[in-house]
Amino acid sequence: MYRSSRRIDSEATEWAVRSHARALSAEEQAELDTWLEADPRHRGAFLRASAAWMDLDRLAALSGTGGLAQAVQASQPESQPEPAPLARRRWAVAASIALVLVGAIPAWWVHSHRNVYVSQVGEVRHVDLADGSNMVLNTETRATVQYDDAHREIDLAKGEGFFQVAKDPVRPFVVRTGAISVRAIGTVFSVKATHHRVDVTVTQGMVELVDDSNPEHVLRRRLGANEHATVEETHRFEVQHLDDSEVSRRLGWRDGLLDFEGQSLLEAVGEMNRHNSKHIVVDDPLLAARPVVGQFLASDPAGFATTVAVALGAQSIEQDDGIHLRRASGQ
Amino acid sequence: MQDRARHQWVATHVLPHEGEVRAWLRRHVHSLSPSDIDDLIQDAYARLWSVEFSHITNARGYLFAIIRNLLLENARRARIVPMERLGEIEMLRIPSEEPGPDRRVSARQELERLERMVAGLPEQCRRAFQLQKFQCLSQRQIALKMNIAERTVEKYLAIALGRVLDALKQDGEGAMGRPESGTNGHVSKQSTD
Repeated sequence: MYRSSRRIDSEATEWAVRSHARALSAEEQAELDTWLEADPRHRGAFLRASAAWMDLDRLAALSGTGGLAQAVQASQPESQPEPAPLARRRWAVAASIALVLVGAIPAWWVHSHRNVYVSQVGEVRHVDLADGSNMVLNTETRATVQYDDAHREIDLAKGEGFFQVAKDPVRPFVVRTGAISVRAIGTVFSVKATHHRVDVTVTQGMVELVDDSNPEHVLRRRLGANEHATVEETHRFEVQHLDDSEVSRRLGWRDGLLDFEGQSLLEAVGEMNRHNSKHIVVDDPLLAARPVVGQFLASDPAGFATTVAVALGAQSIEQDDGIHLRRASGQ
Repeated sequence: MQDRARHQWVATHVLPHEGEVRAWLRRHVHSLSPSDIDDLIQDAYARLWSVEFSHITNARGYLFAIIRNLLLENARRARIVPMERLGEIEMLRIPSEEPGPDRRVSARQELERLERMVAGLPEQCRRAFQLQKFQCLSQRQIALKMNIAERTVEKYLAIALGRVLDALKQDGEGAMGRPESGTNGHVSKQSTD
């Protein structure tokens, strides 16, 4: 049976909106699957409509505080704009800022700022930047912020940062770590630089990931909301989509929480140790491979060790060089 | 949605070329009616449904190749194009170059188009759309704020998205997306049937 493309488009837009804006019920999902299965053109129209719907996020990010956003404010004088999910929850907390000015303050100060922010082991540091952007630095992070008339650049030498970027179409916001840079116009994302590995997670809007380690062949990739990219060796981006709970799990460190959903004990311990000078040591490779599930206070290695020992039938022994986890005797 | 990565890929790499592909079809395959073109475009996106997109480095070329193959398939089935045109389609040259920077629409132009689209929406529909995309409110929050059913919010948003899709179909000035190369806005010849 031939169905007009117009009719199909109209059904596709409804499905695209519904499935992107909220979780479908099992019934709806089955209905959508049946509809998609019925005709390849349904799939085509749905793909096109979904893509256009997502592309609107890019335009929304570009528009910033411009006319489109203001139109709402003007028609809604009584309402406060609600905070975006995840984005602005913690910004009111004004944390002390380690601010080191490099060099004296010469005449170009007015136009160019260069500040270095460092967080200590176990510390989560909130920083308000001059343009209204915010950043949160996870444990043991070093970020150099340089602003001038045309650029907003953050050099992340090590560690992890979460960035909420104020919109400024004239000055792109770029976070660089080694050969990898992440360019945003107005968006919310995090960058984590560990040994030879960079992780980028976007929670809102869109960023462009650039690898210019080889100037002959610069690699670019756009990342949208809920996308996560890993760069382990240069010239390769591994991109995956994350659901909302996975995104908040990965960003739980901003609240001082670490959330594990079945990572190996070795990985979980590595993450705990990033946050504490008192380290946990896993003495047994079999134990190290066991999965860990649960939420832990990043600053409490002893609590973590005790809980995990109970859950995995292990022993937790405190020694001079840290807390040792080993299999309980008799196992 | 499992497939958001694919949707995002299409948004970034395919949508920007849709206007150009449509203009190319209008210019070179005169026997196609506007609704034939809509059908072809839907078929083309359908082909993208299951391809391993991460391996596609030149999405624009890929899109043109799909369209060309679809034309040939249709011609063989004599659905759209008479048999004698088959050779003609095989001769069709895909424009080799991407539009130069001057031909690309700037972010500001894109936003102006979006603003025009938004301004043309019915009042309630516009409010729902703005609250969703620019204030990042959830469906439920919008429903509460506007005192309407969530289902109604979805209807409004679908209408807004429909306008966005319509704008994608237009070439040159009217498009939401970025324009095609080497056209002065309109096609030299209209469809013949």
